[in-house]
Amino acid sequence: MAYLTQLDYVKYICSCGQLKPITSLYFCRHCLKIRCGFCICHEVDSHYCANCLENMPSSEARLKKNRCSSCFDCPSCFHTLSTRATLAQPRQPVDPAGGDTKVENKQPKKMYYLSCFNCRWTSRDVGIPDQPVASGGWPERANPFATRINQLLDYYKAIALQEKQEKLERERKKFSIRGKYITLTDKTGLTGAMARNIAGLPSNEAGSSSAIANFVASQASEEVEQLPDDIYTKEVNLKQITSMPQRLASPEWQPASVARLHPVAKLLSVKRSQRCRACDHNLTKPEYNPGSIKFKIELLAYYHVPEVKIISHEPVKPGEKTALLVKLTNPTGHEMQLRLLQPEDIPPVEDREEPRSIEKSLERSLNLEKDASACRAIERPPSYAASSVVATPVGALTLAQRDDAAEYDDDTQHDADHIILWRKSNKLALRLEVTTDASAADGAPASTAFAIEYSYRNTVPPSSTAAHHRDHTLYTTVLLDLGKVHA
Amino acid sequence: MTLYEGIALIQEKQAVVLDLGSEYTKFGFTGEAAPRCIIRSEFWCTTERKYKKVYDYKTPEELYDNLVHMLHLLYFRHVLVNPKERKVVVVESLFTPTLFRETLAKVLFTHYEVSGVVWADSPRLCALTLGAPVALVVAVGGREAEVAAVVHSCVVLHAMQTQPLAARAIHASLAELLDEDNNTKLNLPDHIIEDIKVKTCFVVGRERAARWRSPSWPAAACDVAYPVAGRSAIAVAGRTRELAAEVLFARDAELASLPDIVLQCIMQCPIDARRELAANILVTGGTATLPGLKARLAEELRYLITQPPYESRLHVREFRFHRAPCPENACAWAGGAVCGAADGGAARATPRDAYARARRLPDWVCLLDNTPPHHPHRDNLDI
Amino acid sequence: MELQDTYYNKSEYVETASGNKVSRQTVLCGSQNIVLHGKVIVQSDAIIRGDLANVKTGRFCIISKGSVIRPPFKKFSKGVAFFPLQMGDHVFVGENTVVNAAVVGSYVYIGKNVVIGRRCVLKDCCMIEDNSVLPAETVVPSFARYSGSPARLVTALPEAMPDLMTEFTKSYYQHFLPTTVN
Repeated sequence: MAYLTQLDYVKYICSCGQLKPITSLYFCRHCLKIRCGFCICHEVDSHYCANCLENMPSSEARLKKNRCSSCFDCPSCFHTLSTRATLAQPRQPVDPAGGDTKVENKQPKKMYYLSCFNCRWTSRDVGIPDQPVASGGWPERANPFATRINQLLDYYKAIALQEKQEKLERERKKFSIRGKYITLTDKTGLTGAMARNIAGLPSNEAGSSSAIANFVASQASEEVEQLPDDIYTKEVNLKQITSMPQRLASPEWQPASVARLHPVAKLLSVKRSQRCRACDHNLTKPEYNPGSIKFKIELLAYYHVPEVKIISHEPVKPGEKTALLVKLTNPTGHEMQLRLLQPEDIPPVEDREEPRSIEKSLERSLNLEKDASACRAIERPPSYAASSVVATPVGALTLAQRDDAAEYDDDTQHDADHIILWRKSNKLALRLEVTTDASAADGAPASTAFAIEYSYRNTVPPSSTAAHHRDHTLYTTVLLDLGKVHA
Repeated sequence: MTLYEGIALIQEKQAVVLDLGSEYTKFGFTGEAAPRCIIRSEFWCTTERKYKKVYDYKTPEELYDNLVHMLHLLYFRHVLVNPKERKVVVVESLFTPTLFRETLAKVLFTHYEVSGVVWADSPRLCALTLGAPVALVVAVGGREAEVAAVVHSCVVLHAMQTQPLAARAIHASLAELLDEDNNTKLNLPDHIIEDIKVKTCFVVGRERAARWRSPSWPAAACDVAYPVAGRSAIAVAGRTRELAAEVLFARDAELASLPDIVLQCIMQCPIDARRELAANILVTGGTATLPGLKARLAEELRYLITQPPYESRLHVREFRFHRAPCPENACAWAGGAVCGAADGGAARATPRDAYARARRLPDWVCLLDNTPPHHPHRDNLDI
Repeated sequence: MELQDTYYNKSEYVETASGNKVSRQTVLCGSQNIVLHGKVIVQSDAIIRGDLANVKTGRFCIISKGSVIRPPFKKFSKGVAFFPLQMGDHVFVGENTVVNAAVVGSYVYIGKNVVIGRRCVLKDCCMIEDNSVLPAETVVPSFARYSGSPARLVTALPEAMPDLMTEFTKSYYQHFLPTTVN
């Protein structure tokens, strides 16, 4: 939780070189690499309305321009509008004497209007009549420019088609001209034109399409919009003029006056699934139900990579040793062997891929080349400057697996070890020593980095083709923010 | 043949049109009359915990990150489609820095894996919305005013004019005038300045502007008290309202005002196109919606043409103006939407594999692209 | 950063059999209508208005100092009716916050000085940042982070939000200790 309310004190280095807190990282079980939102592929999974939490199939969403048909946003403050009911008084004759009998005949009818609870805007403000049904039925406005844009579209489509036909014709002619003799008529198309001329048909170009013939280009005029006459004398009522966000909320109309604001149909939201770019496996896939917080697939680094948390540290002083307490957590269901290293001691990744047959390896290399080019473009060397160096303990540490029942026994084991402060089920507190460079300036950001070597048991069911490694040794680099240097 | 083509067209995903302006970004689908969203070109930066503008960058990597975040916002928050295997029509200025173009291409092709990108320049797209063969496009946007002559779908490149006379300049001048009105340094944030401009400012006529420069000022328009949360209301004097946009028309020896660059553009065009261009002016861009701007521009053009140096060298007497079939701020976008749809699913796109091979984009300023194939220099190009 | 221990005066707090720790300096109106489902901390000067309608919380909820939990009302043509307020598990309510919601899901973080308008629905796994105002009848979807006045969606929350909230509320409970002063 601290991840959401505090700054990111602990950052991991993603395989693409980005520095991110563990909560925004993913772990691909197939590549055994840490991924982040930057280097994975996002996909739209399903559309839903964030207000009524109703799913909308993507085809329908496309048809409705990704807008909910029953929820509206306030055009003034963009908060969601609420439907309010009123009792419409049935129209009765003005005659007070005969009124009583008629009222009983006519039931008061429920009428609905939209109202904003934040800024008190209502659909009555702009003269939208109340509706007899609670949802939907609100008048829709047509884009004033739609017809002209459609004319333009037809026109240019016709031109594109004509160009294509001409090109085809030209190509056909090219083939037919391959003969020995190039006749004059072929080259100029004289016969065709002559034949048309004799038959009294319009020439080829003009008659090709009605869309082209009927198109009228925009006409320029001498006049331009002038300032209204009363602009120098009229008082400005700021409340009557829309702001830029209000105008741009409906790009089609962009009303300048508050009186022309209309409710904006609520934009849908999407559930995203995420995919590893290198192996195309899903990293997260949400449940279809908009209200659900469950995931079908959820490969988060938070569940697979040991978590490092700072418990506390002494103020960092240049040229001195500082005590640093960190907590390590094993989130997996298996026991984990850990070793702390200096970041530069991580062995370079060797290619463990063993080509089985020539064809396979060829295919793979082709694939790899394609994928790697995209991945490589995104990858970049991580940029961080660590002001201090952690003295990494030599020995390996063992972290027990995650055990949900363990929370009930509260006793913490205090190890006699001088490094390990305490142990509690899958958690471990370490006492580390940080040496800061003597040249560190006062007030400069203090940080340190270390690498973790950890054992990871892959629980992916073995596929028939790939040789299956169950246990892996993985590395990750962690960057700790230790505040500022105090001289 | 045609049958198969039809099927292919149906299967082709509807392309998106991206117009990344310096202030506002327009994004939507081809074939539609209006963009799906017009939003500020900024995104929530989680590491810096503030909104960050796309154009605020110091290194290519930072620009790359900015574009990735911005496109993520556009695709997954506003337009809600998968970017993968979908074509993009990018509306760009002809003066877009090469770094920006190249980085945008990299982001689109490698990060979002789009299947193809159509690079379309905004003057031609604006002209496309008119259907007229000749048009003079005056685009007054966020940072710069650009004047480009489009003659039969070709931009007269050597005649293009650009000056930093747009929303930014107006904001700066408005901020100065407001400081004067309130006798303090206000240091208002940009969105408040913009709001004051949108709600109160307008462009006065030529004569009135001249009277403001003379010792005898005219009776100013009404003053406005603009309320700001957490402080006393800001006084916006009538004079400020009238003069905020005068920077666009301020002339000096360099002849770099907005009407001047329009006339200079016409002057540098081929002689047979000049009259047509003057009779087919289209004023676009968000700043063009400022009340009175077009009227003032027309007035200035008609006056300046009678003055040196133009009266002897430019023999056009008639200026006519077009109205685009879309709001001014989305004009180039609408052109992109029409162009992308009419091209049969953007057949002119640079496909991804072509980009993967070449790793560069054709650019009109690059000698590799503008040297004719049989030119003797071509073999010696060392780029 | 790991949570630090919070100490309280042992005489000030009542600990129930199910592990609820409720300060004596609170106003619990209509306590027969208030159900705290276990291991809930209600800190001093908090107000829970059980007299208006039922208030139910799940396990491991933290109701901080000076916050107000108040069932929402709705106006009808015939008068006003109050609705019960339900709160899921692992919910954190910050200091001086007013919650008028109809439903607060599980794994919800509400910052300090927040106003949650009446009949709001906060779905599971959402977060309202400090000093926000949520107007009445707002629906906050899952994995959304809202901020501002009126509060609006800022970014999405990480997928591990349920586990983060579980860990946070549990460790808050574990670190909420009586002072060992004699």
